[in-house]
Amino acid sequence: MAILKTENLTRRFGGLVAVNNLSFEIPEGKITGLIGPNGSGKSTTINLISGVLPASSGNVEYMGKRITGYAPHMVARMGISRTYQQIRLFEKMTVLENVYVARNLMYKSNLADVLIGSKRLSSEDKANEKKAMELLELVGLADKADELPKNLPYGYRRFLEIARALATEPKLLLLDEPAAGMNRDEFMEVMDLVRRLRAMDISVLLVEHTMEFVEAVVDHVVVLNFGQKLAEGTFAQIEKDPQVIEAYLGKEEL
Amino acid sequence: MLSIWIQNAVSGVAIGLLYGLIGLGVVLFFQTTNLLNFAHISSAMLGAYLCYMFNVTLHLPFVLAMVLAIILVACYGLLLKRFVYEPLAKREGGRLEFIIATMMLSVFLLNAVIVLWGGVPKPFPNVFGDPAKPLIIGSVAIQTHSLWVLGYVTVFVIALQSFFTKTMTGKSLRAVAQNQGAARLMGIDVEKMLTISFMLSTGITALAGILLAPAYFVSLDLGGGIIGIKGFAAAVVGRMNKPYVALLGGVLIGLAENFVVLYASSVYRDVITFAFLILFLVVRKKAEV
Amino acid sequence: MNRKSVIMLVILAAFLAIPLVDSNQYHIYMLDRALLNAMIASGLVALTGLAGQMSLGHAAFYGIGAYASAIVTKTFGVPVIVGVISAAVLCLVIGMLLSIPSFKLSGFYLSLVTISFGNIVWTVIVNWYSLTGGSLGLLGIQPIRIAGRAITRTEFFYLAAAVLALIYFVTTRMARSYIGRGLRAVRDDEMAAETAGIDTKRLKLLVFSLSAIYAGIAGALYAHLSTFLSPESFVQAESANFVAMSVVGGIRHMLGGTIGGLAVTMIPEMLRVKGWEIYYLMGSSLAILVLVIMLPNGLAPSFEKFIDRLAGIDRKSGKRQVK
Repeated sequence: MAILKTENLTRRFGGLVAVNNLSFEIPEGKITGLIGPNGSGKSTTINLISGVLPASSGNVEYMGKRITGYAPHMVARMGISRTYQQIRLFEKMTVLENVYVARNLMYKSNLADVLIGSKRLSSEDKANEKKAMELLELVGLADKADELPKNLPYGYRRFLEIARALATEPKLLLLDEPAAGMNRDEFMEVMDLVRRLRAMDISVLLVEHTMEFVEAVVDHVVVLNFGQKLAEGTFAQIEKDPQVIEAYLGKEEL
Repeated sequence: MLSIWIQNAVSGVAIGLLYGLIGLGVVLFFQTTNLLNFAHISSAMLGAYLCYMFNVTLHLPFVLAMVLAIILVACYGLLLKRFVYEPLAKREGGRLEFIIATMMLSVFLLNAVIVLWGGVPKPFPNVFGDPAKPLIIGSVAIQTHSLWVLGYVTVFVIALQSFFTKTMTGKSLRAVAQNQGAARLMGIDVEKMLTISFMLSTGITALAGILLAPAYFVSLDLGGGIIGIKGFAAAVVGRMNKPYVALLGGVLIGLAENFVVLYASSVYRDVITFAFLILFLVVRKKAEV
Repeated sequence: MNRKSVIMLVILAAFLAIPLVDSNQYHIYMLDRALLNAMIASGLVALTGLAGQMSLGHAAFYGIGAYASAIVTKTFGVPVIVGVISAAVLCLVIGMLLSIPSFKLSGFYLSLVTISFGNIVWTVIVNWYSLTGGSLGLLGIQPIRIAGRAITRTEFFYLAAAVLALIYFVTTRMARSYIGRGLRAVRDDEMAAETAGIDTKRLKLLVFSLSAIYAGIAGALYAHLSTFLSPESFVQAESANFVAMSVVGGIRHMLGGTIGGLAVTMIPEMLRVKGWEIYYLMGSSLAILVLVIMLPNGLAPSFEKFIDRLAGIDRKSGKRQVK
């Protein structure tokens, strides 16, 4: 059963076609790898699914519902969350607040509740702050809750971004190169974290360059080249695919 | 009818070129600093008043007076960098702080001019010919001022273009405008280029102010908001990164103003600028800033 | 009650006692104006400090509020409170419209749109003679009345202080709630806020309307304080002045609007020395310029540090600042 399906998804930038007629499926409860040489359209695909970029043509279908053209916050509300290749945090807010604020979509309190300081608001605040704290514990940042993100080591900034992405309680998480720039220890930790996500019943689309990472965690791989789907299958199948080897040849080792 | 059209077109282009010159200064400044200087237009006022002082009060020849005025305003650009930009940058003052600081600077300079020269507009000497004796070609009367402006701006643009393409400093300045980080890696003294861009943008605006003075008088209007916003509007037409398109944008605004006055009412003259601004800002695809 | 609150209350009481001690009507009038300015600056603190949006056109809302309340009360003979409410509603609607460009533009581009907006509103005020009296101004606006007589300037002071307190309360409640967190997320990274499920357009709409309402209420109160309106009070320079107040006060501090509104209104008055009138505008703009350059965080954080020191609190525990 697919949680998300793209149909002939296309995105042009001027004369350049970044994603070209791409159709693929993300199976539910599994980790799907999205790999390909540089500039093959992986990040653009994530931007199209999360609604950050509008598609030039084609469709995105999530749990049987067409979500093409939805605003990003609506996509997030539907249960799709993401991280960025270039980490984007709320730099003037504390580590805790970075996660806490992503719980905003859970609130039922309205402006009136805020102004009178209603019971409903304070109980929602309490529950959401607790949940945010739990997520910080999950990624190992609980003791840094009151710090500003700029005081965190690089790898932890990524963990914070993942915690924020989890705060919206996604059913599908799009991870854009979560291990980029990490040292060995952090790399092992993030790999472990991604594995734990599967146990939490979260489907994952993983864009990653490090093949060690992909091999270790994914159930299924989609290979992109020049914005098109080149191959699809298990990692073992992909690894032997002559087309894939050719696409990567001289560019990156597989 | 046609002759009125031609007259309005010529004077619209001339005044527009000066708005465009101000816009060009805005673009050059924005490209290197990524900031808008809301005291930008004060340079035009300072230029006009200083030129007036040298020429009328101190009886220096006009061209010498103009050059001295531009040099002094460029030096003021240096002070602007040293005493406003640098302290703010050091204290991590953001764009908003720079906007407010430069706005207060423009209020300060307006009041300084009132203290030094009084608030009453002064007529600029007829160095560009007597407005009462226009050049008559058939039935068309053309102000000699417009022709002088065309001449000055043409010479200036040729000089600026050769500065950017022929001199090392000009080339370095362009490199900094395109990519500060890369320019630094290439060994360009970015700090020095920033200083030059402060001096260049204030100097250009001073020139525009001097050339505008016959139309606006040597008055506080030259340092007021409306002409400044016309410069910003021209810069926005040039998408904040194309100096010569900004010049053209100024021409468009100048022409549009003249024809609005001709066919509607002078009340709406300034509204044109704002219409231009909103139009060009809202139809932009996506703001980068 | 801790020592800090006691000190704050003492300062507040001292401030509120000024009109009782100083009976100079001009001084009290300037204090009234300062409180009105503080309302507008508080709105800009929410708009810019909290949500990262910029407006250099808020004099337009001040003007719309003033003329709306003046015209409504003059034309229909309704009580002032009805005029103030209609001013607030009109500013709410126009504030929502002004927030639309902010969906697409930010930073300098947005500030240029708001400048244009301010100038267009000003042009309308000057040229719509039949409604606004144009540059001649609008005369004979009814004052606020209690028990059948016009309110005194001292009474107006307490009324304005109460309204400002309400504004402070609303802004602070909002800033400390999930809405405030959302606004700060919009300020720090709009795209990341969107993908974290935050409806950034809705929040911008909210904060633009809120700051427009504050300015509109201040304008309406001003109309009934001065009973005369002239377009001169709503020129572009006033918009810049309001932003200067919020920056001088402290754009990221809840008290920034109040402190900045008071300081920037009173600084020129203090420099108005006999025989030196020609220098006072020069001096006050220079004073504000120097304040912005030397103290980009504004007066409020320094003020709070000072209070903390008086109360013997070390700086870290006194966490009232909105980061």
